[in-house]
Amino acid sequence: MSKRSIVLINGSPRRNGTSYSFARTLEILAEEDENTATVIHAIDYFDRKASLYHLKSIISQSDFIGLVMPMYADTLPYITIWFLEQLSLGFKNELRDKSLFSIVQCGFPEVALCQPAIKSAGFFAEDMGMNWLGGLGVGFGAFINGTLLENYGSRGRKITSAFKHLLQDVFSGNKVSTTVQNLLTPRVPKFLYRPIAFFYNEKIKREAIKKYGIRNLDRHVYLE
Amino acid sequence: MEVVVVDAFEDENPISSTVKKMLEENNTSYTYFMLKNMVIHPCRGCGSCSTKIPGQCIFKDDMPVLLRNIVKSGLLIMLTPIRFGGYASQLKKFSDKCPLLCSPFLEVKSGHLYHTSRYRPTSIIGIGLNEKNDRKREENYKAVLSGNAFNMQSPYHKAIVLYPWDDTYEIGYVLRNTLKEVEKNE
Repeated sequence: MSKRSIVLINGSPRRNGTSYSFARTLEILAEEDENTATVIHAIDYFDRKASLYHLKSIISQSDFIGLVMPMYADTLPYITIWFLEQLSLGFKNELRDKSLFSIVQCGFPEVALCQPAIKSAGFFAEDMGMNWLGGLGVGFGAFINGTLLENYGSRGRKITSAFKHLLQDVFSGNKVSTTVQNLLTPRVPKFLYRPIAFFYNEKIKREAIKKYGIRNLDRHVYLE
Repeated sequence: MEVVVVDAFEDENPISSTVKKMLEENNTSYTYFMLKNMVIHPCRGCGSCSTKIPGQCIFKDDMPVLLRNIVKSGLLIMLTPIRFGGYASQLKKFSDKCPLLCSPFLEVKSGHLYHTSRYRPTSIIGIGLNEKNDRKREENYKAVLSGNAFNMQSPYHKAIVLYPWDDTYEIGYVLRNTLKEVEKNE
């Protein structure tokens, strides 16, 4: 297979969170097969630490774009939407006919919740005349909390394996397959949700007391 | 019933003026916020609002003004152009901060995990202007609003999608009927 060039956009407002961990792994996997990969952070452009003008040459030289982002309030975070709006204003020529896929990670186990965000990435691709290759949802992303996948045990290895399959699909010009999605979907029976909620709530209470001395997490600040 | 309107439109449009007119004709008490005139810092995902300063953002901006009004209201109306099948960035900046109304604790409802609400939940009406004649984008916008309403535990929610060629009379008619449905649910 000939060398490919891919730009991986970390659409999270956090530079070193789970989305970056995913983008970094994709970068490593792509480069292992002698492709060129670049990770960029949408937040750098929002904070004006990087120039949208210079981004044009990076995008022009790429064949594939991967948009990796968390889910905020049931869809793309503000930073991602802002970034896509900027691209739609000034990058139509550079993006036309490039291929786009997206990976959306959410805090909850149900990957179906990621669908509105994935579809929004698809609509962006349509607006820009790009080749939409589909998207993946990853559940329990918040628990990863930026840990590098090589340090995240068996789940990290599973996600890495799924990403390897993803890149094979993408670089072949194929849509992201359901096989890859199945590898990423946590198999958590619903009857476990209440115990998960219980343990999570206890963890939050302990953290609040230990780190900040806060016992009351239920303040009604906006009624005070 | 108190109503809060958050308007994410950047330019003059028939929806904003029709909403104001309809609320006034209905003698509804409302507070109107033009988001482009407000300072709202984007959520940075720092997590401070969970345990460090529960229910508050570490970055000081105009969100407390909005939230103080929302928690005392019975209805939140959100106006936005539909962008990529969802909210425009101006509205998203606001909606990303709405989890300040929720506690960090998880509960289970209808087989789904969600964060419990700190305050009495508010009904939501979302009005989106769809400039593309594409029903899929309309459906996606409605799915986003529905997700927001579930997570905010809204007693009633409705997504209204309008098109640039819709008559303002029709817009007013749809809004008036929706407001009646919200009042019935109060």
